[in-house]
Amino acid sequence: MENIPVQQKILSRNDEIAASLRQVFDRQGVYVINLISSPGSGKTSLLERILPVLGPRFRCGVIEGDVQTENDARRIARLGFPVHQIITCGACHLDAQMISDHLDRLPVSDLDFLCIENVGNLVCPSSYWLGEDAKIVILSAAEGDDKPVKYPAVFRRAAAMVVNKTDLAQWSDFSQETAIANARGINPGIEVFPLSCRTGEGLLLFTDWLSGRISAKKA
Amino acid sequence: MHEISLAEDIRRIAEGVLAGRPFKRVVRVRLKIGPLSGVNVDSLRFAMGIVAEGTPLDGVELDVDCLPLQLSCQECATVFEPKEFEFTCPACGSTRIKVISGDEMDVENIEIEE
Repeated sequence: MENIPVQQKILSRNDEIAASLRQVFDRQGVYVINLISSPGSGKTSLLERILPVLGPRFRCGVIEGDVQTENDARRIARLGFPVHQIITCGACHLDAQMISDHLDRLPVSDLDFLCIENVGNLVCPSSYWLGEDAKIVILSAAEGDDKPVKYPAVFRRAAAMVVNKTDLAQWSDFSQETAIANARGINPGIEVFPLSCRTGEGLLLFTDWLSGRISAKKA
Repeated sequence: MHEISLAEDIRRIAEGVLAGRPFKRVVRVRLKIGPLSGVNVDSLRFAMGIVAEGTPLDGVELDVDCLPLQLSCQECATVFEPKEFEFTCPACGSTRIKVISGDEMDVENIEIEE
């Protein structure tokens, strides 16, 4: 028997590819977010709301990740923004290799802001760095306010949490205060943006925050 | 269920380490897994069995060291292991907390029969 020391991160290869993606993004001055949430909490709806606000000031592009269909890419394309759909054929997350393989399908050097919409899932996407500047997690009122405690990794690693569907909160047992307290218990520095993609309430605070980040990276 | 892709990464790392080295079989791969990694160890074992089939890792045992979530307070230096994922110091209430262990998803070593 021989014991060979390895001491390597299981995801070391993903991290290497992500680091070289990050170099590309930094060189081009493009601010990149990795949008993560469970299915149906409003990732694409959020993009449909924020892109028209950011569009006049910044050149925006989107990568969509889904297990199947190009439905989300069609929704973004309708708004006139460059978009590329990655279909993972069953995989529950995007990884850095997929982004690297598909990046030439977007005019990255002409962008200020790239949003990568991950596959709907609160577990796996949190482990795979895609070279992004920030992870943003969405939690919707329909899901329950205990999600940060149930899925701590993604809330720990996210720079911001969007609490979506605030218009539905009154019809459910969802407590916004509890959701925020749960998220801050895990990640005290997390920025929080309660909003409703349906009514538009609260959206401006989020787009202002994003604008600041995009401008800072561009400068 | 990203355990299949993790198992593939473990196989790739092992194949890299073993390249050019004579061995009869790979007995054991030792891993360190923290609670913040989101890895389900049973699923990972199951996935490894499938991914290893027909490779030098066929029949390999995964020896998993499940680490506790260990945090340290940046204000008063208290080291603690919270029951829940509560990143607040039990001694002084500070939320300036550093993770000592919990994020791990590492291959520690590989045991082979020569």
